[in-house]
Amino acid sequence: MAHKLVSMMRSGLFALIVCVLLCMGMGAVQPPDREFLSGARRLAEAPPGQQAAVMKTLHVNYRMADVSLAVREQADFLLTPALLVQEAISNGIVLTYPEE
Amino acid sequence: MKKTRICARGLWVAGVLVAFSITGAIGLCQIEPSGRKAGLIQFDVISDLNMDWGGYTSAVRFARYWVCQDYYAVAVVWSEPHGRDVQDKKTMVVLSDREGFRIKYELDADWHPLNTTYPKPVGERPAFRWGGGAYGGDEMRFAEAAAVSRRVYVSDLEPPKSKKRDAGGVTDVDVPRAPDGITRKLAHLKVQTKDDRIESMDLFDNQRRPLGRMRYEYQPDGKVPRIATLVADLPVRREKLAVDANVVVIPRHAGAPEQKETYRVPDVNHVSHTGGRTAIVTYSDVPVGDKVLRLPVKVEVRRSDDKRLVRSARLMNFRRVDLDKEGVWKAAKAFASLGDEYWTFRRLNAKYIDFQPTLGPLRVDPNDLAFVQKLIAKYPLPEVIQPPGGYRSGARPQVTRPRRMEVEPDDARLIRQLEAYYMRTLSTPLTEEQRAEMKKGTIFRSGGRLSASERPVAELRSKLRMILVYHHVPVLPEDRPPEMDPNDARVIHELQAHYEKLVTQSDRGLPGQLKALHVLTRLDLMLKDYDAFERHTGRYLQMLQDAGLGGMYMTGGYGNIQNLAERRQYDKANKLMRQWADRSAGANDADGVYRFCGSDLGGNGDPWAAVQLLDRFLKRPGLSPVQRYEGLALRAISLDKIDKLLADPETAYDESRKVQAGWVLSGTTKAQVAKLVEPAVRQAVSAWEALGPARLSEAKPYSTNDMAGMQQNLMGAPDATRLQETSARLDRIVSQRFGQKGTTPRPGETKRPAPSR
Repeated sequence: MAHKLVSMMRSGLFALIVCVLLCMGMGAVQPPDREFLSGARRLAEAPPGQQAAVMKTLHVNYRMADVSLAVREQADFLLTPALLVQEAISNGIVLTYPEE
Repeated sequence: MKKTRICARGLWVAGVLVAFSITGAIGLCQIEPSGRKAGLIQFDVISDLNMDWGGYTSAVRFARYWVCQDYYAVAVVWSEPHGRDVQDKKTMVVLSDREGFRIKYELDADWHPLNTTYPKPVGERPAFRWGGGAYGGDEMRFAEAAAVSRRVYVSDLEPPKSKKRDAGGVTDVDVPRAPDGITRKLAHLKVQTKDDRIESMDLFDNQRRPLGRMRYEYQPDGKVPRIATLVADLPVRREKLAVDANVVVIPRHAGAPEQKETYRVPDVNHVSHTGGRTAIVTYSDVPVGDKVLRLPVKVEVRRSDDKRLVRSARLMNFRRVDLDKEGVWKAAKAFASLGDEYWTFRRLNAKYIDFQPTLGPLRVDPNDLAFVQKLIAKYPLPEVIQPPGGYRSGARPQVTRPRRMEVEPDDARLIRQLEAYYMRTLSTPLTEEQRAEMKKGTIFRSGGRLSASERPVAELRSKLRMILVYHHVPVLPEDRPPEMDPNDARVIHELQAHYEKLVTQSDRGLPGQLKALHVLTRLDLMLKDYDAFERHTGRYLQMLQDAGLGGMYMTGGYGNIQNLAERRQYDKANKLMRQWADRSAGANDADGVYRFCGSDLGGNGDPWAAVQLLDRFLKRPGLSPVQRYEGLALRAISLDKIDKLLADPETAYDESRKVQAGWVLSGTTKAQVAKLVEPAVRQAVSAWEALGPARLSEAKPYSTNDMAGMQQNLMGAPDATRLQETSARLDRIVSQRFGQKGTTPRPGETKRPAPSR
């Protein structure tokens, strides 16, 4: 019985070490949050038990916001050429793409 | 002794040389791709913007830029179609340096948020407060701050000994603080390098969430690596939407008494950049002054999921300029300024073209709500009756459609006056305190947030508006623009001479010439000189075609055809439309054509133009089955719309519809259109049936446009795509014409009974 317990503990410890190593191997970089992927996106600052009810009762027209977010992207694109060229003609900056 | 001194001197010289060579080597062997200081540079940019919405589906922005390491300035000189844009940004000037973000907007010089300097740091972008296509241009400062906060510095990647590099050449970097104390969103990097050049780089925030992945391609020739393209994969982005609401819910606990609970919801999580974005920047050697610089010359941003082009930019005319910062600000303002002649043109345009009638003083008490309600009751409006069980039942709400009535002229005047009065009441000016808050970007006053006392007024206004839209409203004598004043005619001729010169001046560049042509076509309309209008439109279209602006050829060209049709110049409109449809079909891809045909300012608003365009586009070889189906569906929808317009004399009463009907009938007959509709619907349905599995997924008839926002939230219904919305519209036509009901599946369903043939 004692032998079986030691064996189980040993297996558990081994599994734990493998998990830790796997996590380290992954560089601890998290995947994108599930709730932010398309389709599932609504969360309220309410107690967990009430979140769903609050979100259903909330009068928010997401489509209206989406149109303005699309406009924002295009409007902010005005600065992109300036930021790209500024990176190319400034010392000490690695070339990247700016946000818009 | 002498020998010893010579030897010592030689050692000193050698030491200095070694020191110089090491310093030089450090300077030269910088990591690629990275920037090199190059003074102040001026260049021009043409940006092509695509939108999936009811407004202009294509817009082009022309701007000049001045950029150096310490600051930059932008001046928007013109935009298309016809001076419009996704937002009207012409005359906007921005100068951003270490101290602040300066902005000026000549078109609305009294609007404080767009005519001020925002000190830096500008702070965090507040929760997103805009809706329905509105957006405060001054919030661009937050976009700049976000871009700077995720910049990568060469110093982040040095010294290499402190970094972990694996066998595959990937280095993990925890980035330090930025120089000059800039706030950094970037916290971690994974860099893949090869021979002192970066192959790719993953950017993460402090929670190790991805900010983007940069991939670099280099010119294959030469010893020094020179960047050819930068490909940035940008993920879906987190967004906070400001709702600022109190929500009352009644929790259901078994056996417990029902008790209301109120929760404050300041904002909700949301996403932007749906589908992700892939930006491709092309770099090239550009001679600037006495140097050759490696600079970005082209940018393309596509959706990552379906590869559709969202926007692009061409950078050109690079040159070195010798100005100080204030000189740049002055030059930018001068470049973007519309000039005195343009303001004279705008005054005349408002008087004769975009004429706003004056309806005189209101002769009733607008606070006598009983009277107003009685007036509204005289003209019954459509009502939406929810199905038993509400939204959850999934059944479609019923809409009652009362008979359209002739609104009496006196009532029409009164309704319009009251509607305008209530609108003004609801748009009270901002207080000084609100202005100060707005400057900080912490408030946005929208019509959507009304007090309890304002809500009944808003409801009355909405009903008055509906009467004007739904019933037949007569044209009042005040609606007619004034006769041409001889003095104005003289000024118009002077303006014509001025702008005719500008059209031929190539030093003004394409935006200057397009601006001049826009003014000339509007002056032609004022003088009712349609031959000149046709001539100027021809030049306008030629310029767009030569510049490779196919989307604008379609959108802007259509605007001019519409101008002719509205003035009943049907022959000229038809002639121009044939050329326009031929070239637009050849110069645009399926996405561009279908976006235009589904838009309210394009084919959806003018189904006749959509049919002409689609007839030509669908002859193009190489369309995929889905592309062919979407085109056929849009064609069937447009023909159905024209058929209904011609068949129902009541709907043709409205002035714009009457014009449209007259235009259609100038080239065909009611019977000919009627004959085309059913075969077009059958052809579209056949194309849908032939799609195989895609007909129940990608092309599934499913609409969220018809759902109220609240209904969509309750049902948890995902947004429909453009193709699914088109299928749903086709589905409704099939139901109406072939008597099939309830074919549109609910969000979770995939089944759609095929129309029996």
